[in-house]
Amino acid sequence: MKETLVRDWMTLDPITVSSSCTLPDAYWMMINNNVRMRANIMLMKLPVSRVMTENPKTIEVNAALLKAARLMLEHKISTLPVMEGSKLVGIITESDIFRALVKQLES
Amino acid sequence: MTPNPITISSSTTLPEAYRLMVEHQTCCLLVMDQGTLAGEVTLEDLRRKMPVALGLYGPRPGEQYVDNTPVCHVMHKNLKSIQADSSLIEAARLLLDSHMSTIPVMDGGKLVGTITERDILKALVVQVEA
Repeated sequence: MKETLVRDWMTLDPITVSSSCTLPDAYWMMINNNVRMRANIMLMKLPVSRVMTENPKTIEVNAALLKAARLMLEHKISTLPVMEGSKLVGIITESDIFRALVKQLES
Repeated sequence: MTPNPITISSSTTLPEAYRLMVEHQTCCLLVMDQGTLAGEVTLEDLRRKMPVALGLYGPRPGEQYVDNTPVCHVMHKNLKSIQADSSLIEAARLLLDSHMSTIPVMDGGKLVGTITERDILKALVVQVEA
């Protein structure tokens, strides 16, 4: 696992929204559902900037997978944005690392 | 594993299940009926099936039914479980194959805990670093 890199298991080109995107739009984007419902007026106007985590922890694309795992466990987070310099290139999740570990243990 | 998991009955309503998840900071509740494991319901199930009750949308005529819907309508049935003395790698394989985030841990026929991807990840990282 020490030789396995984040870039080998990450998901490329994650879906992103701007901080002014409304909560209902972000919600429907998450569940990837085209059905629209009448939104509560207050929530409809709230931008995601009001609820998002600012300055999230990130991981470099060439970092070891173990480093990503430690970062997630230490901060109790399940997804890390993957950066190449200052550019977002993917995301890596707890499940990605879990799959990598199991594959390695079984091989 | 996490011992003594929070359980609900299949007649628990969706909003009540959601309230329990928030209160106990968990994304998964096991459903027990008369001492038998009947299924599990996850936060993702609730998110997909009850956006109205989660407060994301205002109520519309005819949508009040969501408040009274029992979890038996959305829960996963025929759950895979694992025995408490199974190996970690067996539990890991079961989690991957069943596409579940939480697996009940049994001692014989008795529910004694749950195990998640995070539990196993934590154990494996400690093992690799040792």
